[in-house]
Amino acid sequence: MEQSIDRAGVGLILDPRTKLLLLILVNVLLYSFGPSVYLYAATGFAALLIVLAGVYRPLLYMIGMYAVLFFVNRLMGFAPEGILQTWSALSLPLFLFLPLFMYAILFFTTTTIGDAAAAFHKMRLPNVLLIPLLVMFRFFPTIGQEFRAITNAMKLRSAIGRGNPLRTVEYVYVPLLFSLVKTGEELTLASLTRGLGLHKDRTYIQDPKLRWFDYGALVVMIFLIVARRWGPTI
Amino acid sequence: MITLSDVSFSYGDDDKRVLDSVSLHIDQGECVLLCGKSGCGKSTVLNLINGIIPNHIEGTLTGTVTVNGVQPKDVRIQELSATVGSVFQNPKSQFFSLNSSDELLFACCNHRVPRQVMQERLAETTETFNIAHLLNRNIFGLSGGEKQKLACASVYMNRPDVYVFDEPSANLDASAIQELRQIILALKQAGNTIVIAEHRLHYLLGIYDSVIYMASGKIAGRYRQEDFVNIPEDERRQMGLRAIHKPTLREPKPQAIESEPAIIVETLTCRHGNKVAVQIENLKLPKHKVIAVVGKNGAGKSTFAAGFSGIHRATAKIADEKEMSRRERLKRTFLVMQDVNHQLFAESVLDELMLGHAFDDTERIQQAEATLEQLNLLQWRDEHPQCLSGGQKQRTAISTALFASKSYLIFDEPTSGVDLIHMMRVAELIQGIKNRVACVLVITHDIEFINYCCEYVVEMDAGRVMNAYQLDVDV
Repeated sequence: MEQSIDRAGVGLILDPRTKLLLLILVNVLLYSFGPSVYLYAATGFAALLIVLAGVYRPLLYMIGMYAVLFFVNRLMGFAPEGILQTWSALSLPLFLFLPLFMYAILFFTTTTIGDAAAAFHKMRLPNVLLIPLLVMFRFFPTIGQEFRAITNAMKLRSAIGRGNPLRTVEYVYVPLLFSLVKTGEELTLASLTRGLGLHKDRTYIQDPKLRWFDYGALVVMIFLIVARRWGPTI
Repeated sequence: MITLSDVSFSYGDDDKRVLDSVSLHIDQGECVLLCGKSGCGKSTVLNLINGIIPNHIEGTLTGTVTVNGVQPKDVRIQELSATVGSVFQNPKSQFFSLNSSDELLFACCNHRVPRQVMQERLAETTETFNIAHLLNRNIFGLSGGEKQKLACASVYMNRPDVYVFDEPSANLDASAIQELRQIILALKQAGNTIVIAEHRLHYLLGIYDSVIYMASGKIAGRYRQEDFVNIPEDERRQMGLRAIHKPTLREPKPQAIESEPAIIVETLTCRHGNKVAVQIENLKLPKHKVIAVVGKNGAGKSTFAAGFSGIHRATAKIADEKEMSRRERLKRTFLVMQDVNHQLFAESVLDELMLGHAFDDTERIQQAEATLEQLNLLQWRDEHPQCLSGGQKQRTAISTALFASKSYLIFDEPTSGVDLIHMMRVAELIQGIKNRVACVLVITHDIEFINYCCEYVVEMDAGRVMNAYQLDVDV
């Protein structure tokens, strides 16, 4: 058994290091050379990798979102000057950064924190950097959960939603901060009583190995960069 | 295995001793139940065993604690965690990972368990706890019962000798509690030493070897199991303890008198994505009654509450005098959440009521103070709501609902993790306000509480109402 954690139902998963490197390389493709057919190909390639990994939903969301953006863009042909400018300023970055979003989605939807930690460990990232990173990843979704619970509670207090939006923000922050402090404290205890930070080093059940499709994916990306630099301009 | 000799402890610079000359001894392989009212010091004892006191929580500690020949104060919590495994009360915040498999392996990774051993343990643990279906899942998507099972399994992965449980059943339904019982029993049969602090006692019957009853920081009684189970009912209540034997729900009324309904839910359909999570038809809720909404975790009770109150979008036809839109339901219902911290926004208790009103409206202020008076909160009117005790916070939330003249009050698990006295206080409070609103709904797993407080029961399963009936004796 190559992987001991059963990832049944999930397809071809790249090594986290590969995904990270792809994310860096697509930045090179975008920032060093600007938009081109090769960049679009890289975007399509990311979509392919996401599908091969067996994750469809985020991809569908992205397609839906960009379909809407595209449609609005067409409509803007008829819009007055001012609105058109504002729209361009808002929507241009969204179009420009689409390739980056795609590779970020690939990384975040197909990597568990344990996988990432094992891979970073293999890259010799020291524990003093790794543990804060793990804590951060744990905390983000917690903030989201608490936030949702609080906004739900606010719906029942019609008085709060009205009037000054700044005031409303303030009302969210009070309970949010208090419950995050409490949750943070409880998480600390849970991690200490499970030995977090006991040794300078941890062990991992995953044995991150680069496999043929890791090399394959990297070759495709490097090919796109080389083609953009020296190949025909399409 | 565990010895406390003449241990006293007070938090921080406080003079008040939460533990006062406590001495106890727990043998290898023994299972000990710690019970007593909230604040009696039972959690403090657990925290001394797993080293959280004095290594993380500071205070004045005298006397000696020994666990497996080691004094917890001399080693780091992490080192001690090889011997002592801890399961906490709140399933939400006792996981370090977001993925269930990562969580199972978390302690092993930290303790530098070799890969090969980790794989063997994972296979064995999956088998023992029967959790193959819980592997590689998003932890936020697990039910409370599944989370607590995972918590036990992930502690077991590290193979400690001592297990401490701090109110592990607080958020579980009846069937999840039975599973928890099986797990604790299996851990005991494997020869582990187990210390459990609990309010809910009945599910541990037959597991514990002895019971330590604590009161205001002292050991007020030690019982062998056979003596403890024979404590007479009135003495048990005197001690402030929840039922020792499994409580049964009061009988339904044989010939129920059709009382006037406060509200009729003609249809209510709530969806999660494409899945119908709750579908209710023609449910009549009687006026001025306290109605228990019961059912397993995941039966749709909370979704029902969210749809009924209008927090979530739902296809609904709900009417009292006339049909109410979602907006109107939001205006007229109030949900007292299980985590009441989420619904206190202002800087003082009085401001909490006055939110949305002009703060210099003296007439409204007087009315607000009258409401606070009724709920016994007036003396805390200028305190910050987040600094109050759990019960006071709950009352503050209720007072905002009464002050806003809400008609429908819904409580989500108001008695999870509370002792007998607090449970009875919540019961009295709810009975006291039921005539000021159209009706009170209480989502609960707590049969003892229903017997004290509720007059009507709505049973839910798989998103549907299976049964709705009046209970025999009025409260």
